[in-house]
Amino acid sequence: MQLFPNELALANLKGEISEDERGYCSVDEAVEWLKELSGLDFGKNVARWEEWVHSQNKKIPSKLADY
Amino acid sequence: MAAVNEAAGASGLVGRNLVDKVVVRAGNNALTVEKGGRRILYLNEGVVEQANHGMLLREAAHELVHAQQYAKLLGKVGDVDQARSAFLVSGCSYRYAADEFVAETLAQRRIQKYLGNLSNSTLDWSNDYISTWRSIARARRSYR
Repeated sequence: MQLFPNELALANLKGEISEDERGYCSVDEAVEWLKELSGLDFGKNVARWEEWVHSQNKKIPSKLADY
Repeated sequence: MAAVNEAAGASGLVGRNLVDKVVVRAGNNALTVEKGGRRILYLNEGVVEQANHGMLLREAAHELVHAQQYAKLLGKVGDVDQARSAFLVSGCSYRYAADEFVAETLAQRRIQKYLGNLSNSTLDWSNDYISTWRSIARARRSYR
């Protein structure tokens, strides 16, 4: 799957995008981006951000389940 | 991989001219360029195993547009290292957002034309992806 903005920001926060990949950004940039997208501030708390991203209904399991 | 070659053909492209290797992995889809210039197209294993044919072709076609974007950069600057640096843009940049909505728009059009139709779920997902990245690009353009 291609990643939506919130998914890409989260992947960067989790260190899943390498510096050699298109779309990489630093952890600090990823946090700022998530804050901008959500209007929330969970800092570098991955679990809280994952919860928020999953609540946006753009996560891979739900997408695949439709096919 | 057959789906990438089919998506390339559907896009009026020759896959081997744009991509050197196709890898199926657990992570996200991507088109990456290694130091030295080797172009690798990654596809998510869940998509390859579970997605319908139209969705799989659309996913491959999307990454092939990124391969075209890299080829265009390379043709412009003529140097692999410079083209690679220009291609590997930050996810937080205007350029990334703009490239995403262009890639998905073209992929959707090409595969829809090739197959005659896409399922409603594939089309809904694709349209959502386009509109989301387009709105991000518009927001970033204002403070670029």
